[in-house]
Amino acid sequence: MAKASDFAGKKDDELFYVVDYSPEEAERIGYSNYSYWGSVLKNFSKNKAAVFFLVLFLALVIFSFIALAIAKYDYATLVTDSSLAFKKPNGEYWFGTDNLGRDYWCQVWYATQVSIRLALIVAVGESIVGVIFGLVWGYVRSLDRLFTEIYNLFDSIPYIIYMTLIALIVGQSFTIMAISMVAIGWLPMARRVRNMVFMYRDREYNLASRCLGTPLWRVLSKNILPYLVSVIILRMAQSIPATINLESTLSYLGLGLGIETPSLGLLLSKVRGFFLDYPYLLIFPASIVSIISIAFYIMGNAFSDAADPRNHV
Amino acid sequence: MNANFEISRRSFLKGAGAVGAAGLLAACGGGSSSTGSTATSGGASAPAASNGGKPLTEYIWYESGNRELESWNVLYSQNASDFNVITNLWDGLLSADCYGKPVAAIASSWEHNEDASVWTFHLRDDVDWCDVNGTVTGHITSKDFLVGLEWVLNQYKNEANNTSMPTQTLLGAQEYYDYTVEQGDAAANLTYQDMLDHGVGVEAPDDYTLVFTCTAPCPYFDTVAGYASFYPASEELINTLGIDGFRAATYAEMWYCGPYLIEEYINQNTKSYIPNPNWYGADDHSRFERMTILILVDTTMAYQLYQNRELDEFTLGESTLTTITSDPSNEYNNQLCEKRPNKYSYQMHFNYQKFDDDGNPDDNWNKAIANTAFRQCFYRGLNLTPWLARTNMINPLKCENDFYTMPGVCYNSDGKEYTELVREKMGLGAFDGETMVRLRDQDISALKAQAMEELSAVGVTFPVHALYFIQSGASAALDNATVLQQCFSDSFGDDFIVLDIGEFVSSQTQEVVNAHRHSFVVNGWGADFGDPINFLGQETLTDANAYYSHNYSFISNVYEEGPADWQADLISIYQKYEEMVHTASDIVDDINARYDAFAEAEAYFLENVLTCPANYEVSWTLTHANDYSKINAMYGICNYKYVDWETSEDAYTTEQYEEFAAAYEAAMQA
Amino acid sequence: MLKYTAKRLLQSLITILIAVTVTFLLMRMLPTDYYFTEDQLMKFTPEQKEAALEAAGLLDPIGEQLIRFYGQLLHLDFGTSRRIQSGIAVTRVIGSKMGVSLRLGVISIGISLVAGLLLGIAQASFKDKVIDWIGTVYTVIVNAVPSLVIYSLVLVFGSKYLGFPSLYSSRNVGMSSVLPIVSLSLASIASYALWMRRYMVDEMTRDYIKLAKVKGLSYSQIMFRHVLRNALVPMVQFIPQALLLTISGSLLVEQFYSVPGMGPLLTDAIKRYDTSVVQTLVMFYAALSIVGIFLGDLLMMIADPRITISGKGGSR
Repeated sequence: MAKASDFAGKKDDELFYVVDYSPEEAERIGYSNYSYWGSVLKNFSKNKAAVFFLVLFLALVIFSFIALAIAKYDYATLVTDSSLAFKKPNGEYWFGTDNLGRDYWCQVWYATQVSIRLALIVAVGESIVGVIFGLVWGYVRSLDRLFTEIYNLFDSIPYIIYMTLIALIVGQSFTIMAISMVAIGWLPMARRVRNMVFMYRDREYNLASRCLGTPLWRVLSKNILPYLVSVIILRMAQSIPATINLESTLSYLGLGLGIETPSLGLLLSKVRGFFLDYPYLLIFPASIVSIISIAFYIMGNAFSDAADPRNHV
Repeated sequence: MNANFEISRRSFLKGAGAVGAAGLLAACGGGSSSTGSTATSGGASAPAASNGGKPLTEYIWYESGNRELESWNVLYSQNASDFNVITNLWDGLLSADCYGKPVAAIASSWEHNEDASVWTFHLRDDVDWCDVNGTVTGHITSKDFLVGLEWVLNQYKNEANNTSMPTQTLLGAQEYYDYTVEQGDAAANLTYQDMLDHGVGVEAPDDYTLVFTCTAPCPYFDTVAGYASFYPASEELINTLGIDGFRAATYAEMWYCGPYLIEEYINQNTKSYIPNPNWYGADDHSRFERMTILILVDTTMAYQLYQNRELDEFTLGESTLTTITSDPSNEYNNQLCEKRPNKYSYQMHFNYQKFDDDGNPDDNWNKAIANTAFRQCFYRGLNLTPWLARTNMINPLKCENDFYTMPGVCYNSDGKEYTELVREKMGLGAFDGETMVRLRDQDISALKAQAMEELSAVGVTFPVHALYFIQSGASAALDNATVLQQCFSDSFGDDFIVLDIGEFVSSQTQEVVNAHRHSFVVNGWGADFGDPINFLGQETLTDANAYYSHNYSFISNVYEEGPADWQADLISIYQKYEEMVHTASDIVDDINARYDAFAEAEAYFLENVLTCPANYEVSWTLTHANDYSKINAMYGICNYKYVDWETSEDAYTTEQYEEFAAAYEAAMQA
Repeated sequence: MLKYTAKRLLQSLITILIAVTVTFLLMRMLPTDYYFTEDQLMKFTPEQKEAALEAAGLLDPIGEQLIRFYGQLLHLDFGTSRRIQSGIAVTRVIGSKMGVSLRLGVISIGISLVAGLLLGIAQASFKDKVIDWIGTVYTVIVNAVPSLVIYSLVLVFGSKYLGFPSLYSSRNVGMSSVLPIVSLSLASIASYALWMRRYMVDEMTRDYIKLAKVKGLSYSQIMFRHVLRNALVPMVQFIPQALLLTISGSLLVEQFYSVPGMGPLLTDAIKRYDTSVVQTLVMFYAALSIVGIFLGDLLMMIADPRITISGKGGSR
């Protein structure tokens, strides 16, 4: 297609010329170079706060690796020494030392990585499981009743029973924790997706697609899924602070990760007893948790706005 | 306290009249300033004399959340956490004083025949039952004790709880228990008369006399008779509530005979006690007008609660101690008080039949621990000082435990404490506050080389991993374990023994020990009665009631299932040890010879390090009560009786506690 | 309507029954040693354990136990507690704790509804002004900082600097309830404000509001007569459920302040392996959440006559 600049500075008679009949051109449909994800990115990048927090979060992740690399002490070989307990942050111990005289800097950054990894794995895991189940639940009418009953069943038994029984029977580790959190967390996601599918599945364009014989997976992935992206993203973003929060509660109850994997939740629940006398023990991990949560809250909202196709034109 | 601060003549007479194992009844409580005058008084304390502060009439203390009471029935419960409550509501035949000696309670005096096989208790005639409102509901006679004993021995009624002490000591008790098992549901109708007819070794010649006959001479029966199995029960109340009703009676339904009544009980929150107006000891003992026990689910809050004065006492952890001691201007700096050891002797109980997580034998560990030199490295080479500092940061070595038996369980006729005999036999020095007694002049490099050589020959790979379990989510336990790990690393070197930390979620017994997953467990044993057999008997090879051999070290399983070649030495050591214990326990006519023989066996046990003694619990506290005035028996259920406590509106200071300790030591010597 | 209610109640009963059966079976997957206390395990011989289990009927085949359990349920017999309060009927154990949780919960919901809605309204009315900004920051922080940390801070500052008692006490209910209620309310204020603002902002962009503006209605008239009323409709739906759920208490808050409520009861019962208490609690919670959703739908219908509940409405 021609652009306005092509015509600049041309004489009138140069602007018009006769074209021959072309069968291909006559059949061509109007087409825009609209790209869904391109627009999402464009819209997202317009939100300055969201971009700032995205950069901040990425910086935090990258820095956690740098921090561990430049740390004076290695997490795996920390030594307890009560004479070094509760040293305030200084040149040797950048975040001070904990109650057993161990360097706090490497503990905090190591825990940061563990917590972020867990939160991301859980968020992605529950989205995948939740979206797949939600789509089937919403689209296949005959399964609705069954799925609803299963949902009610899972939902009415308090999660703490599952967590305790899993810890008692299976044990405690990073993998077990991630799997059991996904196993419980997919429910709200699936339910949201199902409700959205209900709204869109019988829209005219979908009826048309069905009449034209479009395969089911194509209807789901091309016609319905784009409408769900914003909801999914929002839910994922919410799930990250929720996972960190839940994990710290579980640590407090003794149902958290195993002892080899210190998480921010574990650190926070450990320092409850002494943070009044040594506030730095609370401030460092708590600020990191807060930065992660706020970042995802803002990013999630911005991304979900950007992902809504209705905002794209 | 209950307005009785003068030393009462009646209590003095009562104390002097008691014919206990103790020749001399020295004073409980009373500070250094009043040592002389209180040395022969009975129970009542003289609090004002000790630090000038006003005594408290109300006291607030705490328990941790997992120690909430489960049963109100003294005959039915087997939990120490229940007994800590119950002991304030009921009295038994005997109680104990602050030195741990048996003293009169409902029995005003007692004596035994020549060979100590028949024991006679003379009961007070002024003891009444009353209900929760303090209304008198009945009178206690010897019959109530028969009813109580029948209840305990009747399997249908008490569901096998608290039976072991009477069945092991009383004539015919085991037979009667077996009979009730045979009877099944019909046992519900049996009465104490049936028990007497069955020839159980107990009788009541009159309303205020009780005679027990033991299976064998039992010189320590007075310490047995104070236990929960021998508490009274009212037949009338059992008939009113029915058997199930009495077993599970609530505090509102029960009848009481102890110093306090429950004023208020809110599960997982509060228990408050008020004095029982009908208590027989009201004139002779001081009590609080109100005692409140809070449940603290999160004990890290205790320090803060104490600062707000929402608590009158709390035990200091290492972190709080560090905070206070490192700051000279801290208001609590001169109020740090060191308590006496609690009644538990903690041991590292090795597991001789360890399984891995899949239930297969972990022979690398099993071979290593069966080797004597390997075990000796634990006793002679493991420097536990930093770990002990977790309990007692200021004097860590006071927590050092070098023996199996808890000191203070018994004394020979020269007044010599039993574990001192063991110390002599093992040639150990005395506490000096600088190095661990058992590590002095020890160098384990030769032992280590020997162990590594011998074990490599049978295919053991190094480092040997020792697996130790802690409660998950308990940050203090994790800190302790981390420090212990460091002790292993520093003492043994990482090429020899490495400590791994595992976690259990709710129950160590169920998740770890029953599954044989531990390499060792650190466990405290508190005496049930005052004789070394109660300790040493738990570790013998073949005896049916050797608790640790069957349930923790599993040496009995190894023996029964046929030991491997590399376990032959271990088994022969155990056999020799068992023989020595049996020899000692057969000596019943000469207490000194008996203890000497036990000490011999214990020394042999420790030289071969069949378990490794770990620690005592000697902790620091900020407090408004004088710990030395509290009942402090090494056995029985009376230690948490809130009677005759010396308290002060002003917190006690370090100096005062040092004086108390010195006075207490002096009184113990005398 | 009546037919619909009956049908839905029946469905709920079946769901509750399935939930409690699953719990029943889950609890029996653990080894029988879990029925005993550490002290009992220490002192019991295997024969004694066997005898005690047999007496409690725990050695019967699972099917038989389950049928007996259903039979007891039919008679509304929920069994007795084994460990929490040995030998006491479960209903009594729960009953004594429910009142405490309910009282704290209802007060806290009352406070958070008033504060949350007011904050939400203020935020929406002054959208993109300082107050909106403050409200958003508050919401973000409350959601971002782990509750454990927030409660620790409330506890320390409330007790140390403001002098409130740190532990719940029945002798001083008023003062000692302050900190637990504050802790309970912080998060729910944020969530009520968030949703109230959301719904009002959505409503403000509707066409009829534009019309009202064109008609010349005053700002406050528009806000109160139209926006607020319509925005309250979806809010109403959450209230019954929130009120009912207060009965189950808050685990963290109640543990923190030693409140003798329902919150820690479930974990405590699981850890002490008190099966009758666990089963009854699960049934109870399941019933609460189902009744809560139902009442919410009903209330919404009353608040907005345009909404009618169809046969499928409840599960949506």
